Amino acid sequence: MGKRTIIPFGPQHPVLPEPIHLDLVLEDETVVEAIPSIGYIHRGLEKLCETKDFNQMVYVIERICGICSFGHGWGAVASMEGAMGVQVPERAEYLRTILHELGRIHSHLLWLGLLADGFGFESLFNHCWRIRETVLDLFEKNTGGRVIFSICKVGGMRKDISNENLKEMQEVLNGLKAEIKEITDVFINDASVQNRMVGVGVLTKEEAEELCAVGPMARASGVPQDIRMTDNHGVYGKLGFEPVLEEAGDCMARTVVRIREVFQSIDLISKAVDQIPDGPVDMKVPNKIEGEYITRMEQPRGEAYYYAKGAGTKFLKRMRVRTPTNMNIPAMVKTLAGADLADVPMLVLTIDPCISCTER
Amino acid sequence: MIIAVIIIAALLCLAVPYLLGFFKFGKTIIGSTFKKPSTLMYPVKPREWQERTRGAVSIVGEDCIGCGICAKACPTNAIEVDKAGGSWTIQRMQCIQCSACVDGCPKKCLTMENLYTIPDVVKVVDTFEIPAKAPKKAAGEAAAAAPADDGDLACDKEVCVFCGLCAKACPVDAIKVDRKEKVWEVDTDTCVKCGACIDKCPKKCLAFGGAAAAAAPAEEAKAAPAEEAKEAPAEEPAADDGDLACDKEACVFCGLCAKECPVDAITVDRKEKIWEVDTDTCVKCGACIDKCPKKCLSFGGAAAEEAPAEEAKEEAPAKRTIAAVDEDKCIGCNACVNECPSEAINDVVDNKWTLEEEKCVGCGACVDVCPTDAISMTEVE
Amino acid sequence: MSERVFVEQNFETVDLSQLISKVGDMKAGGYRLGQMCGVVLDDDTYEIIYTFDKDHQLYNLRLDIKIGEEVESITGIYWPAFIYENEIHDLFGVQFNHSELDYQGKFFKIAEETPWKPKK
Repeated sequence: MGKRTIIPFGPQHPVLPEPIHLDLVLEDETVVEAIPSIGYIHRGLEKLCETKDFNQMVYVIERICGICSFGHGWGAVASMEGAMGVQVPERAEYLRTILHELGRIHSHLLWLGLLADGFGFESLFNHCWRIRETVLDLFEKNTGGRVIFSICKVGGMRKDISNENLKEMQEVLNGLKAEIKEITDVFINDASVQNRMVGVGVLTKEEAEELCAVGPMARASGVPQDIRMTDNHGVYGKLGFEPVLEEAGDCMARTVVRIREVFQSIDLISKAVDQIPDGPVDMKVPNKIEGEYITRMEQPRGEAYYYAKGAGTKFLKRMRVRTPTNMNIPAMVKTLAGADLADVPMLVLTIDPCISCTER
Repeated sequence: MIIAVIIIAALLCLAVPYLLGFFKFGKTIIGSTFKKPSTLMYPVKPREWQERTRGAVSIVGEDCIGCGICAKACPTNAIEVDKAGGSWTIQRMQCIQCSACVDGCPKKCLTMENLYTIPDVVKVVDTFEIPAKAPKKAAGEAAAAAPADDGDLACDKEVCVFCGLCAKACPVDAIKVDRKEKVWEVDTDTCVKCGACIDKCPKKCLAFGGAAAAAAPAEEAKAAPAEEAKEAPAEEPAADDGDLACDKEACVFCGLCAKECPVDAITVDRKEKIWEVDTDTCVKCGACIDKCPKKCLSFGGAAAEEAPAEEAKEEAPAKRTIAAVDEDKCIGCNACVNECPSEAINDVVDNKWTLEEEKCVGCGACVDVCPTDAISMTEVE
Repeated sequence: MSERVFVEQNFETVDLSQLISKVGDMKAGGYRLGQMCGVVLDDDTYEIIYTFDKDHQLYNLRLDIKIGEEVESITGIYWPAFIYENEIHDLFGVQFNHSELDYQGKFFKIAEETPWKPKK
């Protein structure tokens, strides 16, 4: 048995876009135990939500995360709409679903770029982000923002997106498919990429269930767990959604799940644009919230919980957001035990950590 | 020697898949060598902004009335409005470009511009001049409105029916109305004097500056509707005590009154030909009477029914009145389709306007909504 | 228009003494821990909501405690709960006993201790 060493990993590290700290207990080159430590960027956004009226809070909640901002806005308004017991117009639900899936494409492309950067494949990283730029332009054209959209509000959408713009979005995305395929094939088939990821950091199905893993992390281990399968999340039921599953549970499987989800999202948007009904996108809602409601969203990183408790006024008593990374950190810590020190960056990256989400 | 060759051969065999693997990206690399760069030569070639891009808030100073709704709507407290001093200040670096202020502005003097605030090393604060004393309830009657500007919002309780529409319209929830206790209160500290309640009041009993000023809008209120519906103001004083009643002979059960009612006191069932009013809930604001296309509603039952009855006679009972369209004027906007209470108008397809005559109740709602005056009422046998 | 399918809001109130056995039942029933959430009810009461999920159905346990009361940790049953317990400890000041991974109030690096605890 070798001598035990503790290596601090983070909060600043080349592979980490956000600060998380890990104390890695090593025996020779092998990680025996990893102790995570977060809390560098706690902003108290949940508390802030109690100080302003609920319509304004949507813009604050969106800023929990810069990447899945649409999902956060939607989740928060969905929980408030649930507490009020209102059903928003169908066109608004479709638009939300479309934008949410567009957000997933943008998030996964960003993550693929970061992953390529993480194993030192800089040109691949640049190509991923080049494609992502097209998606951001679509966002800017249709919502007015590139990362923070501020288009969701309690009771529907603030702006309608015209059918011509939706058709254009559909065409642009279908045109992107070939480009994305060219790039993602490199991830799947390139030998140097395979060396870094195949068989690394295996999370078995049993472990994933035991550790309550969520999102692509769970689906890569074969756990069919996706909130989009339920019928109370957007219009996914009408689009015929099937979750993307992989069995291997290693870093490569997690990458493949996300790559397949990019294409799946393009197909979902395509279908939604074909089906979208005409009609209003906005409705009048009560100006106070009573009662409580808990709802879930499937974010690019996994399932997120939103809990709204009204105080009977236009202020909320509590707005709780539980983000996917919260649930994936325990799974990450367990897979780290037994891994090589050199594989730690890959393992940390493939859960797609979003620390500012986690701390809010 | 042989061993060395075998080792080299084995290494080559191992290397081949590697080399093939590396060429996966070769095509892309070679291709992009000859492509134009996907980045812009910024700042030589500036970026094109989209129409919806949210960059920075701008204000048309002279239109601002200093109501402060923008400052209240701002989630980050970036806006400050000084009404007395006549200034509108925005902390540019604090602004999150959510455009909540633009949506909230009752005067539409705020807009969202495409260009972002230029980065700076200090926190940029922009101050704009606004009229120090803003004209309140704008338009025409300057003489009456001018002295009223300084006064607080007041309600003429003689006229008020406590319907609560003002409280609903108030963007800052400054007004409290209790229908049962007949209480009308305004929180003058919260009130931003935007005038939204005055526009909405069906009785025109609200005004800035108390009783003196209340008289002026009241006069105006009587003058305006008198042109269109002469019988309505005339019957108000006498009929105010009576309950709302409907002349069921004339009524076509179109349901427009129920739609208009601010307190949902009226129920109408078109099929069963039922018209009912919950007299406890009814606040007698008269909104339904103004809206009724058949003028069959009135306060005070039988006595007041005379007036509408006269009008009903004008339309010969034997004949039916239905809608007809001037196809040259119809633009196919479908506004009438949405408005029709009895779903008698079919969706306009290929500029072909069609009516299911047996369903039409002749309420005239479509005439009111038509933006091009293409619809008129005609009589059929 | 389609009817909204509301998420079933199954809330069950549990006593402090029953908490561990209840959570143990959930685990035996195949439930997955969804989240834990602390809510300030009034000046001296907290509510902790434990959300569980099975086949995309939610089940919530609601635990009402007085400020100062100590709660038994569920990390022995659901290990990933350590994140939430430490979070609630740091923000609200609720003490969790027998935690398998206790950060002793050093989970969040915040300037003020227990910032969300009602100020008296």
